[in-house]
Order: sequence, then structure tokens, then C-alpha cells
Amino acid sequence: MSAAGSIAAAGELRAHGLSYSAGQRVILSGIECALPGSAVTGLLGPNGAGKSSLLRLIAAVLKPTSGQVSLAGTDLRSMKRKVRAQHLAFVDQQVDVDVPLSVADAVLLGRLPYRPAYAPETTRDELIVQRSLAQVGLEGFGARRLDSLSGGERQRVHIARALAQETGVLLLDEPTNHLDLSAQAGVLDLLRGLALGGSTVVAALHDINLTAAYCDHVIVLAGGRVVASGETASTLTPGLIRSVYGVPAVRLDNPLTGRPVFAFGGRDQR
Amino acid sequence: MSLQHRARPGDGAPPTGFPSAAVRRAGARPAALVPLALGGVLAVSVVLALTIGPADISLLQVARSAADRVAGTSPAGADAAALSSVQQAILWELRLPRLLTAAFVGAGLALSGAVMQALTRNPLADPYLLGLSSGASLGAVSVLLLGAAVVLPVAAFAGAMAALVLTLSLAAAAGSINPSRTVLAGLAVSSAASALTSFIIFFSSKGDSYREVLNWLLGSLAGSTWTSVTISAAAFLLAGIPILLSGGLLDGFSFGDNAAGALGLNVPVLRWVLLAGTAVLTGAMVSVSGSIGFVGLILPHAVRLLTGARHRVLLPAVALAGAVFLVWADTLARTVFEPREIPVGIVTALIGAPVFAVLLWRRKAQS
Repeated sequence: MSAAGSIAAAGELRAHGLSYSAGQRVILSGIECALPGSAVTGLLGPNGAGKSSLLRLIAAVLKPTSGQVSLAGTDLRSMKRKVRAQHLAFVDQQVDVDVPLSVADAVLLGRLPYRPAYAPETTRDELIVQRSLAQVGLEGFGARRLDSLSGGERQRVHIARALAQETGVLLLDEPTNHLDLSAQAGVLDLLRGLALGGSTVVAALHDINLTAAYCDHVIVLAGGRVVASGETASTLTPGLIRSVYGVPAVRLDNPLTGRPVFAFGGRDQR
Repeated sequence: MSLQHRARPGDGAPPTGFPSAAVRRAGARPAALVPLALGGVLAVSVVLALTIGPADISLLQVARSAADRVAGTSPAGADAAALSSVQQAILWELRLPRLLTAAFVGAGLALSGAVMQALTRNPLADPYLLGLSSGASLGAVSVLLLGAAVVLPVAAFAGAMAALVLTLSLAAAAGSINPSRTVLAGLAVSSAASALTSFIIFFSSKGDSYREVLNWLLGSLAGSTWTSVTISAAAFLLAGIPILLSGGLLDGFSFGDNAAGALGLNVPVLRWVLLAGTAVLTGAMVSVSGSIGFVGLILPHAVRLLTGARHRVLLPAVALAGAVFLVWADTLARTVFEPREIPVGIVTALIGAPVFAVLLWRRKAQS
């Protein structure tokens, strides 16, 4: 059990010369980036920039055309699948699930990497499920049907499943999609809390202002390449936004949070 | 904000002082009783169905005859509960092998449907709709034409596997694999395979080719022998049992292939091994009974309402429910229009088609 603690602290996640093509189409090329621990890193970029592909390459569910992703110096693809799943958890873009799974059963899937294929779950697994649900603020939701929850609650169930995996790295694709304002803040607060606890959190995000408000680091993709990366406050500039999205922007200070916030002009103003 | 940030994941041991009631996940235990209950229903169904039919045989007589068989004594002729030798033959050489075949075929088809629905995340997936059954029929009829009945189940498996690969690649070639595309591709494959099956039978058959075509395309258990029982039981042991044990892995597919891969599952290998398992099941079942429709489609949906979606409980329950369903469907098929018999596929289609319509309607309402 206590091994998970050391896993959580285990080393740096890096992409080295990562390229990926789907058939003839080049999706990503020459990606070099470091994803720091104890921090939330936001993956930004226009539609089709390759955010989801990069996240899936890092999660090792996609195979890169060239290059590798390493965790503490070890190539992720050289690890056994189950061992890798004990180091990295991945929450995919929300898909509508009409299977009648209970919340606890959905979270219990996170324990799959820890037991042999045919073994049933243990009492310890069930305790970890309870703890993960408590961590995301869903105590007592275990017996509820997944499809009876709101979008924000469902996203937190998926995060609880990732927590049950007891990994040091948490990767999320568009975790705030289709969520209302308060649910967005709820999910991102949760991710910040996990990063404070030592996790490496990487989230592909659509919303520049959410990224500016919640992410410590940012990696900006455009056309399958990294165009900027670094600490959020110094990296996200009006000039960068204009060059990547083609939209004029000004940077303001949010008087409520003290974090930067951007206001945008129209693409072609009359 | 009501969220609580309790340290990081894996920080120290899980709380151990929990009352055990909190650990027991509510709703999980009653569902686990469903397979047990269904097992009981299946046993009762088989015994009851043994007594139903044109030849009057009572429960008492069944019990008596079974006891005689076990004890090895010959029935005393004067006893009112004793069966005539014709009745004995009906019971042991016609009804029992037919019932057992029905049970294994029903279990195999329903199990295949549940697995296909999970792996393709397509609620409409089933061996019949995706063309596996028709492919298996075509494979079986082709080797019958060559006079090689011994390899019938193998040829049926080859036909089912070919149809599966064809359906999935056809669906993939038309864009990303989605439920309606897969069903359309399955329709194309199964129409072609059915037409070829009919063609081969009409061209080669010397006897009643119409009846033979109907039996292969609609499915019939009328010709069941102890050989049919052996083939269907062997397929169930060989492919069905390993599939039943892999419920925990199938659960990993609940949230998509990427999520499954991130949980440490070897997605492409697992998918093809399990789909090949369903092709073994379907091939063997079709080789003894023709292509019986809708068992693999409706049973998983019905049973999921009872057990929820966890495959560890769902799979055994679905196999047992499929067995019960086909035992009774076949009993109806052979008794309702007595002395005429109808192919059991007509009964399953009459029950299955409305259920299928409801499923389509619910999907429409969702999208």
C-alpha cells in the first residue's frame, strides 16, 4: 500500500521528439516537453492542434511514430501494461455511457491494474473505492447509477476512478467539457488539490481563461507543434493568443482571484 | 465549495476502521443472487419441459424412468408409472437431447451477444444481426455439400469468423465504427451469406430443400441428437467458460478503448480473442441448430435490467437466462401447432422483433 506514496512522488514526465501520424496525416511532430510534478499543466491549442493525441501518447494508449515518453528516465512503452497503469491514470473525453453501472463499480475499474485478470476485488479494493469517492466529494454516491448523476458529478466519478489507480500522474482530456460554471470550478479545484498533494496533473483544456486561472504551467500547441510552454503567467500573452488563434486579446487582472484573465476581440471586427 | 482535498492519492493506508456495512457496496450483493435463481429456474424448466408434448409423459413417469436408468433396472410392465418402450425412446432419445441442445445453444448465443455488445459498445450487436450466424450457416452448408459432416462445427466457426471480420471491416471502411454502420454492414453480410446458403441448398439438395433452407435460415432444434448435445456442450466448455471468467476484463471496456488501455488492458488482443471466442460459440451453435435470431440481442438487455452492467454477474446470468429462454421457445415451437412444428427461430423472432423495435426507439429518444 505505502508503495503508492513513492509512486506518486516518482520522477519527472517528459516527451522526447514525439511524433505521431495517422496514415499520411501528420498530427504531431517533434514534441519536446516536460510535465512537472506537484503542478497542474494545461494543454492549450486550437481544434485539431493535437491536444488529445498528445495526451494519448503520454498515456501510452497511442503508439508514437517516433520519439518516446519517459517517466523518471524510463520509457513508458518499455513498461508492462499493468505497471504503467499503476503510474499513469487517464480520463478520456466524456463519452455518454448508457450502461447501467453503479458509481462504485465504475470507480472499482481503477483497481484492475492491481489484480490478476480473473481475481475478484478485495476488501482493500473496496476501501480504496470509498476513499477515492470521498476525495472527490462523492461520499455516499457508491450505490447510485452512473447515468443518474449530473455531468459534473460524472466527471468526478471518472477522476475518482483515476485516483483508485493510485498513480502519481493524472492525465485528463477536456475534463470541463459540457460542465456548467460551478462544476468546472469544482473539477479544477479538485485537480489543484491533487497537484498540491504531489501529483503530476496534465489536462487538455479548451478555455484560455480556465487555463489561466487554474494551471501552473501551460503547453500551447498549434499545427502539431509546441509553440510555447512554461509558467502560465509569463507564457500566456496576448501576442501568443493572437498568433495561435488569430484573435486579438487583452490581458486583465481578475479582481476576484488576482489571476490573469483575457478579453477577446472579434476575429474580423467591423 | 464542498470538495475535500484529502492529501494525494495513495497517501497512507486506506481507512481501516470502517464499519463493514459501509464497505459492502449496496446493490451489489442482491444482483449476485440472480445467477443462482436462474440456475434453479433452468433446472425446473428442463424437467417440466420434458413432460410437455404430444406423447403424454408425467413428471412421476420421468422421475421413475430416470431412477430406473440410474439403478439399471428394467421397468416393471404392470406399474402404472412405467413407460412403454416408445415413450422411453421419446423421452431419452428425442426430448432430452433436444432440450439440452436448446439450453446450450441458448446459453451460447446469449453469452455471445453480451460479449459482442460490450466489446463493440454497440447495444445492437448480436451474432445474428452482425452476420455471424448466417456466415456460420454458409460455412456449414458448404461442407455438407462436400459431404464432410465431421468438420461441420469447424466450418461453421470459419464462416462465423469470416462474417465477423467482413462486417467489422465493412463498417470501418465506411468511416468510424458506430452502431448503425455496424448493423448495416452486418445486414449486408448476413443477406449475402443467407442467399448463398439458400442457393447451395437448392442446387444440391435432393430431398425437401425448402424445409432444409428454413431450418438453416430460421433455426430449428427438431433434428437434435446426443451428438448435437456433445457439440454444443463442448463449444460451451471450450469457449463459453473462459469467456464467463473474463467478466472483470470486459468491465474495463465500459468507458472506451482508450480508458481500457490506460487501465492496463491489451485492448486489440483482448478484443480479438474474445470476439473469436464468440465466433466459436456461434459457429458450434449454428452447426447444430441453424441461425436462431434475437437470442443474443434481447437476453443481455433483459438480464442487465436485473443485474446491472457488471459482467462478472451479468455473463453467468445471461448464459442461464438464454438457456431458459430457448428451452421454452423451443417447447412452444414444437407444441403450439401440434402436430405441426414450426422452426424455433420464428418464435424467437416473434418475441425478439418487438423488443428490437423498442431498443431502436429508445436510442432515437436518446439522440
